[in-house]
Amino acid sequence: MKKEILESSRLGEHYTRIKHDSGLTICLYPMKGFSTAFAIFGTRYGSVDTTFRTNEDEDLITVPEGIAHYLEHKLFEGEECNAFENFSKTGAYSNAYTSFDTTAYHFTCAEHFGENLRTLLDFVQNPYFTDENVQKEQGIIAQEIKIYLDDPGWRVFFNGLGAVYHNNPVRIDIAGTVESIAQINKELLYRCYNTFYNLNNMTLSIAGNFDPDEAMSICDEMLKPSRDLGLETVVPEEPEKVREKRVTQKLYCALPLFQLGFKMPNLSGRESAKSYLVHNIMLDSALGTFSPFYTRNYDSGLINDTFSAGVFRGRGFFLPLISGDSREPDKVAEEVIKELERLKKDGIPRADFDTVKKMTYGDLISGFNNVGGVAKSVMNSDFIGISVYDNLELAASVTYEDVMEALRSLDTDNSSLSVIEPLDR
Amino acid sequence: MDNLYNRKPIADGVYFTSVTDEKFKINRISVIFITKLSEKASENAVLPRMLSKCSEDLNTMAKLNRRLAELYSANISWSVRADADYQFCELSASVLDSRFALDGEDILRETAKILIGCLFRPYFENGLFPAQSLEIEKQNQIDDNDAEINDKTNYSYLKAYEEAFRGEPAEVRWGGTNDRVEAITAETALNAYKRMINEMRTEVICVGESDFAGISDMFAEAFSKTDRRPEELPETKVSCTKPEVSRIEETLDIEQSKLVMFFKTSDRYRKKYPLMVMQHLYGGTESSKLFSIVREKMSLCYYCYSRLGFAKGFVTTECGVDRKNLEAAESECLHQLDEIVNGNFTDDETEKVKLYIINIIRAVSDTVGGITSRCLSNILFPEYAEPPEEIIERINAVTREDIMEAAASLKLDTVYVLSTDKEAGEE
Repeated sequence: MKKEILESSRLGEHYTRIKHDSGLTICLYPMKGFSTAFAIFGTRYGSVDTTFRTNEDEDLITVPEGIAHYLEHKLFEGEECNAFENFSKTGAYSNAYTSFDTTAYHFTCAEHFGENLRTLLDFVQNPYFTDENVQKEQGIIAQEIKIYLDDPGWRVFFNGLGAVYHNNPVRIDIAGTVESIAQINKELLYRCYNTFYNLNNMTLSIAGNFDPDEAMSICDEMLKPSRDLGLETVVPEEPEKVREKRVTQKLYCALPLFQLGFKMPNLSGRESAKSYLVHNIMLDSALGTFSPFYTRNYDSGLINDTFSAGVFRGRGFFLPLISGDSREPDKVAEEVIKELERLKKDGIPRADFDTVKKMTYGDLISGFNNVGGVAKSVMNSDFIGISVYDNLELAASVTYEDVMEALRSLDTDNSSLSVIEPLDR
Repeated sequence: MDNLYNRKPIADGVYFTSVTDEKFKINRISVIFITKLSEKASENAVLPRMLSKCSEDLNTMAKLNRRLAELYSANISWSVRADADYQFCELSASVLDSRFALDGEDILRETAKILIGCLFRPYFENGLFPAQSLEIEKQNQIDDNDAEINDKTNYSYLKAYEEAFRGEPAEVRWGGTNDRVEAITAETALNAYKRMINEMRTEVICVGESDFAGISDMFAEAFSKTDRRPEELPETKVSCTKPEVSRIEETLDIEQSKLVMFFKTSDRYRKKYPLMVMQHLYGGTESSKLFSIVREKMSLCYYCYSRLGFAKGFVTTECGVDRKNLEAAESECLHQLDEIVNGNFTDDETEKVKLYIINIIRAVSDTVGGITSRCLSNILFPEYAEPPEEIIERINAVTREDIMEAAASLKLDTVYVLSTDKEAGEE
């Protein structure tokens, strides 16, 4: 067992990171004064992981879209009762989510922390899939998929990803489709579970009001050692250029919704952490709420409070996105590109860069204000190979030249615009 | 209540509350203007938008936003919401605690000054809100009103809510109506602003790491320069159940149909805690009747839950299903409520629900937003303003009979269905 203490002098806080003998990484972040504890048990497994192999497989395996999310639903099911039942015995709130590159299970409680941690470790390590319970879930997930098919905010996002990427599986809806989930059976679920729910591929992060010694003692007792299977996931080859320049769909909404994505080479892991900060500082300096771009276009009514600019990133994808509602989405895209090109030539004012750096510092410190946020950030940082405090130091190290270089390397011509137009009622 | 959260009057009809908790890294100041929902809702709704954009001191959006950014991403945000018979117009400031300022600045005080500037020294041209800004914010309000349709689940809830409380103040939307927004002029906006500052009941609630020393005086001084003539804030009235259930069906070209049912009780005060336990047992948790039967056992839907509107005395049932399953879902949701009326639930189920509610009550003190909401709720319902431990005792004291009685007091008032116009089976 390897144990390290990670500290932040800026925050005056620390947490413990342990590589447990079972293979699991455990991060313990007690927080003084809080009433609740938040524990999250996650795996580096999301909707993009549809093609993979371990050192026990000869060939690559491809599974149906949406299977990571399906597995998340089914893992709550136990042989005797479901995990919700066990959490409810203590009054804890529990839930789970699947993203593009992560699946995570969590609970929050003010009392009975030990019992709840046992429940969490137990159900995530003990899948129970039957033909019947797998079949039963199809109706529920199909309804979840249909909610999002009617949601213009969701559709503008996924239509946009589909326009940017040719092959990257990030272009596919996390829950899959009604057709793809129909191909999922218990054998496939066990196959994916046994591949990705290996403790060497997972992190347990706990923050808030709990006793670290109690947590470790429960982990020692309950974690089942896993052998590292040398998991390899495959991101398909992706052409440099976007797939489509413009995509559109009609749905019920008030104003047209838009999303403009600038295609970039994929960045993952540690290298993406600083680049993420650099690009966000660049976008805030160029298009943020005090920029000439924002105030000019807000005052003319072209954009409104929904306008946002930021980087969408994860394992295998890195994409600056501009989104919002506007009566003239194409004009917004045109104005954004024009402004970015102008700033490439004229340069971002240094004072704006300095101000945005201060903002970034404030935003990062504010992120340590609640137990759930801290536990999730610690886990997500661990998944990309950094400490949760590294972002503070990385942000401090961002230079004006870094930001200008990021701006100049942004190919504004290699972009896709996704638009949802209002459907007449 | 006043002793619970250190609440004190600082002007006529204006109260200042502060909660200091050193575990937080931010401070938040919320200034909440409360009034009865009425035909003036549209004018009231546009004001916080206008006030959050600039002030006399920082007279453009760029200047205001730049100054806030320099204060380590301080934020001034607006919100307008409707709850029960009230409209809440809020301007709030969130800011990092000053101990994290890199150059020793008092960023809380600086942010409070900006907030006070926005509220009490709006940017006027010739004594009025600038015409162009007003037109932009009117249009934004209309767009927000229309954007209800973007989220079909919430849209369905709001349509059912409107029908359930038709003829009462609660039927008015938070943003009023588009025609009344369109009718706002620079003069009517100014009158609405004066009414807000001078007449509306005002709660200033501060939560965070700071002791907020001096902030109370800053607000007291600002309000001392106004012409306070506070209006009376009437109590929210219990809503009577309609003699016949109102059924509304709307059809759109969507993938999933929505069902919303409103049940009302006329006995909300006596049954607050029994109603709370009953509603959670019915549809408030992952082990509730609605979740475990309608979703998990029958696989009819992804979401199926209920919510409790204590002030108006209602409980809802809400779910999203295929059109062909609407009848089955409605029938089963009603059946599950009957099961509670008839006592078909175990003591074990009740205990789990109580523990869940107690967990939520304890968790409130872990977020700045949670504490702010609890303060406001206690202010509006002083008869229920008790320390969390006493509320927990009351939850624990709820009996099986109380739950059955609370469920039996609910009468179906409104059923709203948003269905797809696709043929059944095509969905």
